Amino acid sequence: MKIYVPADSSAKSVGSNSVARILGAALPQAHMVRNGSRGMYWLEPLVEVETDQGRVAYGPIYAADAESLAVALNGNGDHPKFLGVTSQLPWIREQTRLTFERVGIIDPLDPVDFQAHGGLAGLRQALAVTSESIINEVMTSGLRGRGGAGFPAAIKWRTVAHAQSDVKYICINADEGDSGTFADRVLMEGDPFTLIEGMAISAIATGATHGYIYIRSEYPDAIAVMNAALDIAREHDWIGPSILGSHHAFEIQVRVGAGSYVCGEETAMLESLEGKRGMVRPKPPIPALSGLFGKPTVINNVMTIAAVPYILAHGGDSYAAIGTEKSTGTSVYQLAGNIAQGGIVELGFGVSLRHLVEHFGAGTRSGAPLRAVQVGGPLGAYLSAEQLDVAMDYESLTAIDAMLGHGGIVVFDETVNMAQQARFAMEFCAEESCGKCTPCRIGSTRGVEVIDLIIRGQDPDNNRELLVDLCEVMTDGSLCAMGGLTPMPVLSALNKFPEDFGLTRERTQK
Amino acid sequence: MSTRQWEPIEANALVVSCVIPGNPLVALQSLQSQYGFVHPEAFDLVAQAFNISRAEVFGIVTYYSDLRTELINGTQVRVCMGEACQAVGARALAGELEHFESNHSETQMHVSEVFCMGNCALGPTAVVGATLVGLANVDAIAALLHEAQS
Repeated sequence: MKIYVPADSSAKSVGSNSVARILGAALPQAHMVRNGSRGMYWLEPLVEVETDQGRVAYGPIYAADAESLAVALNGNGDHPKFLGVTSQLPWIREQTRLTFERVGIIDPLDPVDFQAHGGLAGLRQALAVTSESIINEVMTSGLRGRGGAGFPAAIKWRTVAHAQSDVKYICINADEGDSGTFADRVLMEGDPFTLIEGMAISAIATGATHGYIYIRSEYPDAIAVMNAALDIAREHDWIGPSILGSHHAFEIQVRVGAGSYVCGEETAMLESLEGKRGMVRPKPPIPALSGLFGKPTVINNVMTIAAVPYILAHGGDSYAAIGTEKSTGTSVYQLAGNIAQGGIVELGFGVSLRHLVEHFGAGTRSGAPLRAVQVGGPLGAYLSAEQLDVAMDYESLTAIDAMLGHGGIVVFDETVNMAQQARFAMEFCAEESCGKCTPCRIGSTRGVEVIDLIIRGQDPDNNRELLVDLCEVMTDGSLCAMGGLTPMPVLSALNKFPEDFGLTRERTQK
Repeated sequence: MSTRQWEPIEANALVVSCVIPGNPLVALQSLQSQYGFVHPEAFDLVAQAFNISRAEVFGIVTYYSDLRTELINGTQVRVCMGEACQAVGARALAGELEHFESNHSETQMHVSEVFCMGNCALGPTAVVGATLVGLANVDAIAALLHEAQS
């Protein structure tokens, strides 16, 4: 018998290690795989068993359910928490899993399992063609940066490929600091080789010889899995002095963050990789020409680079056929917060927010009516219940003064106080600002004070005007997205939920 | 987490081993994982090893919230204050934990806030020592504290 008990850190947070221990003791003859998560977090710990029909799931199996499950597995398999064949569950079946093809399915650190499920096909293809055709394939796919900015990946790569330098770098941004986002973590814990494969392809295309993966310290499991995966990849010559026996040399190192949110900004990440305070650099020069240690550097998000192996293996055209005209391919949406069915939903761009929240998410966890949804992390806009029909792609969200960010979707029920959330956005910016530019460093502190005055009812009309003015200065005058986007959650809360600030709707309609 | 007593000669060897291929931040992180904090005496060691000023080292240490210059007494309890956890009662949990702390002075604990552990679908989230707790409540945290200290 083969059973799967996730070792994903979120699954462990609700007891999957205890479940694994109990099942292991009760079923000594079974072969247990500690897989990643399928992304159905409300069902974690999700135990799967290999049967004649395929893998069947049981969940959520908490430690208290493990004994009875072991008894059931020794018998005919009947258990009240039986869910059916995993791949046929609507939540999985209705997704378009390309980047997350293998996550939750394979043993994350088994190179044979990885290749048996299509791993390395992209890298082998990359080695068979010229670096220019790799970049062309990525260009055809229309792949855009998944960190939030949405910049075409191929243009970045081409700039680095054409830059003349003795050393070039690839830096992967795994400083996934936005609340409500966890896709990078789930991928690194569940299918780390895909990230390594994507980096190796990028190295071949751009001529980079050194790669760094910058992972936040809040992800100790992802750090451990990535390091173990790198050792295995080196042993198999997937990276190292000669990628799969070719003349390409490429080495990868993991670097760990130290608790600074702004280090998720690309230039701050470079400073931190160099060992300095993680303070933002002005651009230009762009990192593609003068990045890490002043050398040409590809900076990609985990989700961007993890999409590359699929594109090389299946062709840029097949990837571009998914999604919308300008936002091609799939996006990995993350359902979080007060949501009944939270987790990972990978679908083509353009799906409506309502479909994600109501169909996949099944509404709020508390059962109370939904009041607001924050899309795109702590710097993203708060959308009201009336705005749920927006299509989830870069352009449609921008059109309603919102942004996709890293694809995080945080649901709030009616108990939320939006003035407090707006205040928190400013407070967070004050706490995490790197301090380099004044609008962000000082503006955020003044923002908290002005919001407090409005909440207290002190000269609300003038203070409201002052807050809007301050937000304009921060938006236009900040060096990076930290100060530049903090006004987005603040103003969206103020404009859509003025009653929470003690303001009437008329007053805000100026 | 078990940490060692501060020992300057050993610490210097550790710092020097980080010069190639590391950097001052890696050295400081190594010091903290070895001793549980960055000893003020280590500032000079790092400054010398990397040929930077003591002020620059101070700047790095104070910039990153992970790095601390004093040892924490007791078990560290971090409560996630990310929006996703706020949406499912993180503020209430932090309040209850404060109450628990004041009523259980015998429990050696150090409560702080953290911003996002990537457990956003199963909040509220806390971290007790090194253990991530999803769907967290005070009882579950208290049980882990008891386990850590018995």
